[in-house]
Amino acid sequence: MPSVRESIDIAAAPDAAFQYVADAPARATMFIPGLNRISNISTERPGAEQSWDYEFNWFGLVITGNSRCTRYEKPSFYQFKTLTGNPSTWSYRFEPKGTGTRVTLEVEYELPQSQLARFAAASALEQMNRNRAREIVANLKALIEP
Amino acid sequence: MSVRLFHRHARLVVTGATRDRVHTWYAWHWRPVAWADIFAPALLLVGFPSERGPAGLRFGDGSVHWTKGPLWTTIRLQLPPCSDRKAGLLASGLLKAARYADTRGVSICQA
Repeated sequence: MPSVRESIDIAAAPDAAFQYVADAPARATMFIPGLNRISNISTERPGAEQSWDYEFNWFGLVITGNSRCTRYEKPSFYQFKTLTGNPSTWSYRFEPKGTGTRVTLEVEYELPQSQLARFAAASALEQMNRNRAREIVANLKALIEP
Repeated sequence: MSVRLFHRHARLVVTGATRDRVHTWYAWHWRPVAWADIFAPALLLVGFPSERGPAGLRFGDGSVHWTKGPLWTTIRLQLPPCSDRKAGLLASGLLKAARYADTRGVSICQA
């Protein structure tokens, strides 16, 4: 399964960065390009087993599906999986670095062969995903830092 | 799972001019839209509690106001002082909310 991995240093405590990412699934629409809607959040209480529906515009194609939090280890690790739609695993790692936090995002995903293979080569799609991951962590930094 | 070319239940919101951190959007709709119930939760997600007015919200040094037309609403977003990247993210996040936030079942008394 292909994956992308990007890190960034954020001037905020690990606990604050973790909460920003993990405590409100709908917040992801603010920093993930193309993620347009989060709905049907199963419970307001964050943690493993929290689930939600998502609607994602993946370079022109609208993909809908369901996600579930699979690991919630405050303040160091947060992971969720998109179970339907386009299967993927999103892992955020939060490590202290000086007075701030190094945030690492790793996304493992399946290339949606049936729908997209005809539009672009796999390598081009992987490059697009890599650029998007880079954009996500940069957006997080911009939103979390004052 | 589904894969489509269009979003379900999306509102048609087109962007107009942007000048001095003031964004103007035009939303076309057949029914009244509870804009306060769309923008207030979105602002809270990025750390801005808002105060509701008759046709708008104030958040920090920013605001979002809407003016109703017969079939459309003109929305003006004034962003607070912040970095260019954060301003861009606030604008794009609120535009997503205007287009895609689900308000089915929400009262429109504050629209």
